[in-house]
Amino acid sequence: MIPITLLTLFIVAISGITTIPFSIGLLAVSTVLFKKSWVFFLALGLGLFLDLISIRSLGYTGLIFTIFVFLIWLYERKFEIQTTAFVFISTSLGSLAYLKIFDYQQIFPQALVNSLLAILFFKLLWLRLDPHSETI
Amino acid sequence: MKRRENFWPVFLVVAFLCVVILALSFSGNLKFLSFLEKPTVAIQSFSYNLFQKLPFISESAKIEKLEETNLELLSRVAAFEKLKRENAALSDQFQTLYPRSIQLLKAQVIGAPGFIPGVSVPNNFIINKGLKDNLKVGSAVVVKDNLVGVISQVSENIAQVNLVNNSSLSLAAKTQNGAVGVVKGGGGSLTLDNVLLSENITEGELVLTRGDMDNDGVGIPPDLVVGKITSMKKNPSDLFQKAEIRSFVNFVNLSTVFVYLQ
Repeated sequence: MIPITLLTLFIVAISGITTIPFSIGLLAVSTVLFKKSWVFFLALGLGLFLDLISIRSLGYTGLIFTIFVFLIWLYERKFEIQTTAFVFISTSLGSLAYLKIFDYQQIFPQALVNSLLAILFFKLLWLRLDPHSETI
Repeated sequence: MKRRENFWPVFLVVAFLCVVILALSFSGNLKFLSFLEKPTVAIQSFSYNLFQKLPFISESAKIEKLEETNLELLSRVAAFEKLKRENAALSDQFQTLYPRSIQLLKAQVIGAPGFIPGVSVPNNFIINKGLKDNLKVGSAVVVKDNLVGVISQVSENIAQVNLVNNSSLSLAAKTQNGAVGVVKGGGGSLTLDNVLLSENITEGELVLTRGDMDNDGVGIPPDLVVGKITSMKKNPSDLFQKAEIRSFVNFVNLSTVFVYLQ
């Protein structure tokens, strides 16, 4: 939980500077690794914070994040999601959708950077949680 | 790694909560939550100020001083041009048009969403003033006599400024020689479009706002410097000619702006 807490604080700190949706990566990695329902509350909290700093209607981003986490959970019912490829694809698609919905510019580089950072964070956390696993 | 929980109840609760908050927000019943903006503004302001101090972001003091001098000189040129026009107008017994009782409100830039360092320039800012400071959507934001942007969204404590290089912003403008056109932003650059082919525009010419104030005095006052023409595109088969403009404002390093209040 400590890495997730630290990363959440970091994301909160840098959200005012850049539009790269690090929150999407964090939510994807948290959902994939922990498979706990508190991720939905994390989605709500991050969404409300982003709505406040971006002067959007409150609840809008939270709803998008919640649906994003929900889609990952749905996928998890039938397929293995604790893989680098899944983290990359889910973060990329989530980032692209988020950036498109809020009409940001240069959505592809932002989504790519976000996905690569999500993979990095996923691998680091995976090693920390299950260093002998070979499934990645 | 860990066994999956039954997520349906939590998902439904959180989604319902989001929808309720969204509905209350749309109906304007969440104003009592404006106190939440204060800590978020503090976090945003702290991180933005920290970011501004990074060595690859902040420029050397010499360049900053030169830019400041340049801005000041350009402001003087704009003021001189304005005086010339006013004098001409008075001679013709015309009333000069200028916003009444203008006040400037100092505001700190506390965020620049849409800004990727080294990849893009900011196209909007978040400032630490809002409805409680009488800010209104459409008010002009300036630095000295240079137009920075226009307020696009306002909440109780903060506001969003669409910068002149933002693709959603377009404004009526004129050149020093009086050619009229429309300034449009997009992709971090500025274009003066819709200028009649018969008009004469030259490289290095200043582009000024034409003025777009409403009855309440909210809007863009005339004669603010938008930028300088860097290149022209004139095709005889086109209806209009266009020109590329460069703003004198360094949006990356901007930390203080002024809002025109009526």
